[in-house]
Amino acid sequence: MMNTVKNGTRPIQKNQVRRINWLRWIVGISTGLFLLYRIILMVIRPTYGPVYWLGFLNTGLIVGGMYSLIAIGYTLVYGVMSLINFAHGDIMMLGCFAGFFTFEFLNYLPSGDSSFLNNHPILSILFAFIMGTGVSMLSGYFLEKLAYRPLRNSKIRLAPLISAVGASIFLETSAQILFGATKKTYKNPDLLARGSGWNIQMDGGMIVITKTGVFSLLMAIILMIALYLFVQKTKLGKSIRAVSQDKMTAQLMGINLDRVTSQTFLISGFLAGASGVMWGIHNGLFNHYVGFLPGIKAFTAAVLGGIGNIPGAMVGGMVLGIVESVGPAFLGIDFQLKDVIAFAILILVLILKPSGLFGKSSGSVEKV
Amino acid sequence: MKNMTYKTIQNAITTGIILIFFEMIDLTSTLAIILEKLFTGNSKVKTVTPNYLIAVIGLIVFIAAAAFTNKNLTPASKISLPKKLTAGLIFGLITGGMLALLNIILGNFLNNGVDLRKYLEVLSPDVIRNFLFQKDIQSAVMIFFGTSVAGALAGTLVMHIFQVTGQPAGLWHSIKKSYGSFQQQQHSRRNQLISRSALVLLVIFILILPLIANAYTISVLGLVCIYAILGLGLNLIVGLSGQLVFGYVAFYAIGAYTFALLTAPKPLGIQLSFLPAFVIALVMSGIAGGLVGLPIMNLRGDYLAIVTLGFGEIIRILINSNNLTDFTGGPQGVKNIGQPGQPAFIGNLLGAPLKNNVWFLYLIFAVLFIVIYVVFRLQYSRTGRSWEAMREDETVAQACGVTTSSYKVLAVVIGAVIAGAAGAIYASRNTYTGPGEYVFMVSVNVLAIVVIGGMGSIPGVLLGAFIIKGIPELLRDLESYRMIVFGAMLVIMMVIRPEGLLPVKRRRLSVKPESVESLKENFKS
Repeated sequence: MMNTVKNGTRPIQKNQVRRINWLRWIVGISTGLFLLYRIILMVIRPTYGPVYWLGFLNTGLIVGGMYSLIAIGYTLVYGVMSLINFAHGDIMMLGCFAGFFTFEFLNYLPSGDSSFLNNHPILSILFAFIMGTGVSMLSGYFLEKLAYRPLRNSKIRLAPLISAVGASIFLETSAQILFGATKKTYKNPDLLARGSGWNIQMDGGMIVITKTGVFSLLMAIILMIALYLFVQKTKLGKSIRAVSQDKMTAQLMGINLDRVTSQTFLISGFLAGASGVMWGIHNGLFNHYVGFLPGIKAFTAAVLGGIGNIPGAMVGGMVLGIVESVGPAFLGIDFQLKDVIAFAILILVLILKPSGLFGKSSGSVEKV
Repeated sequence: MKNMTYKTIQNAITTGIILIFFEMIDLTSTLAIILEKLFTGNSKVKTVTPNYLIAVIGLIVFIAAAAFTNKNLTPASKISLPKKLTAGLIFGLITGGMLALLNIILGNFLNNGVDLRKYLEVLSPDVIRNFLFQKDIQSAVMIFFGTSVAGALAGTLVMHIFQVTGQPAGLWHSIKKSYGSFQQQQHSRRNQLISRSALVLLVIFILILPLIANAYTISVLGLVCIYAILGLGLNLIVGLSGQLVFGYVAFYAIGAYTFALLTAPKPLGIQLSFLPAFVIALVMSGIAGGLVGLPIMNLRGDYLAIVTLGFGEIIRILINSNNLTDFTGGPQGVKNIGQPGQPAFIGNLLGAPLKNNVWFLYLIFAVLFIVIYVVFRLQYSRTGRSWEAMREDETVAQACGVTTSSYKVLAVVIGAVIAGAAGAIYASRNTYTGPGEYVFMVSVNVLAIVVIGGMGSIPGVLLGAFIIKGIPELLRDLESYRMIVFGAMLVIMMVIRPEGLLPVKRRRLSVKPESVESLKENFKS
């Protein structure tokens, strides 16, 4: 029975793939030719020295780490619920605000001759992360409970996604009215003062490696490794993987789908909150709109790495961060247009390899 | 019993959180002002009167307690009145306590001279003083407790009376029943005649309205109609073909900018007349729809959502970019966009030419009617049925011979053309267009129109456009909470009534299988 069904569906799929092949070829070849042309141009007439490229790489890695953390959240949720959690960026925004308020509070808290923030910087950062991740986890948990769970068996296929957009708008505008639309500045402890760092002198210029950047990158890498171990080694991780492979069978094996879904949202909220606090510490300026663009870009990163694939999301985030910061210089366009690059990558990936860099190519068209 | 206590506490805390949220975004004061305006008939009320604020809080607790009693303290015969009142008392005490706690904190900040506005924008000292009813903290706390306990007790009591007498519920049931029998009779010729003549009267009324309305109403009506056109286009994509487009504003922007650049003296200086520019705008947005639709024609709907969202952002960034100022006008936008001239025979017919805005409103009406006609014909054509089949189940549709990939692209293209028409009309109406008008929120508004009206339903979209664009104009006080309400509404509609306010019949069947039986009965009789 299984076999006949498979044989029955396969020809249709092949047929379909063949039909759009011309599009794939045209786009692929023209993109490749254009990139080749730019590379040759760069080699013949270099506009930027190697120092600049290293500088771009540096910023790209830092942003990429944060994209990776957010992208993992998308991928985890997509694996468990087959839902693009559109409000994920706004969960990150809430984490960002929570960290900001923690720092402000600790700054007012007197301790010794100066504030608690500067006397116990490491403890303060830890508190900010606990608050940020905690708020994000809670909001992710309740978001799932209120907006997604009632719709799991909805007859209308688009219902969860529309609900997700609604939740996103709700969170964003609530934050706007509550906290105001003006941009706020993170009050970092002196240990992690923005702009301070190490200048590395090289021929042709120097690279500034900021403390906040190093901190964010390290933090992102640590969290990613921890998450990978968590998903691979623990029982919860195993059940998440099982659910994302096959919901029905996972339930038959005694996995509580409701609980695993809730816990997945807690984990993805944790990562989003951590990246929110990191975003604030590194970039400083933020407002209620902070989660929108990183959210969409992280989704792009998740698609780039193959949605539903955790290592893919990590690599995809890093690649996206680097491409986005190197891209404008490489393509010779204005830095204002760097956001366009991320979306262009999304469209290109969906044309050329919809299953992403690490996704399995067979069957993914059907799943996607 | 234990379960009941738990439920009471849970519901009370939820109500408390909602009330605190309302207070933090200053919605309670706004509601109080609206209430005062309604009661006194004085439309110039600016500041909050404490009594009305008390009334608002009491009313919210009353509604919450009544809903809680209705849902959890049933059946009426099992749970006696004293038990219910105890539950109400606990409910009121917890809610009041939470509010009191918040206001003790805020009041202490106020008394210590801390200005919270740096962190929480709306909480200026005046607002906090209003929260405390212009009194000191102790009496304010007493009022909070008193109000919420009274509200909760009243809520449970009223609900208990309702449950015992069974009255409003019974009335509602009988109304529903009679409406159902009315619907069954709808096939009879007399009823058809009545509904048709009502429709004709409505159309005549709408056609006469611009002549008697003032300038403000005309401008609001024009906006509602433009959003109705947009909604019809998105309805085609979301409601009929089951694809989701988040960046619908992109096609709107392309239509508007194409029209603007072709008719404005600056920056390109082509200055075409209305009709050719309008047609080119439609073609351009259709091409854009095709370009966006092609890459994702083999993928599931979720991807289309994000790709179009990205596309919308790309368009916005491009028209906002300084580099392209010579081509698009950059951040300043395009000014002096052409408007269609009024044909001379209208002036001859009526004695004097129509006022410009009235004439334009008729033009919008004309476009709206054409779009309604096109969408209506499409919906019940072979194409429309293929879309609906695809929406319900792609694999089955494929098996039935629907080439899903080309139908998907077709839906996006037609939807984009309709959006382009709306954009061109909008730009021409305002004679100005700029990048600030094509933000993501426009897409959200249009999506809300489709979702609230009922996906796939043309009257639903018209109703939705009126709700989303018309009602906020009537309730100017609630302007700043509009997007919050839309966001919450999208979620709540999806959870409670996913088929929308005015669903189409086929959609209603797909959501509630049990109504198939009643339909069968209809056909028999």
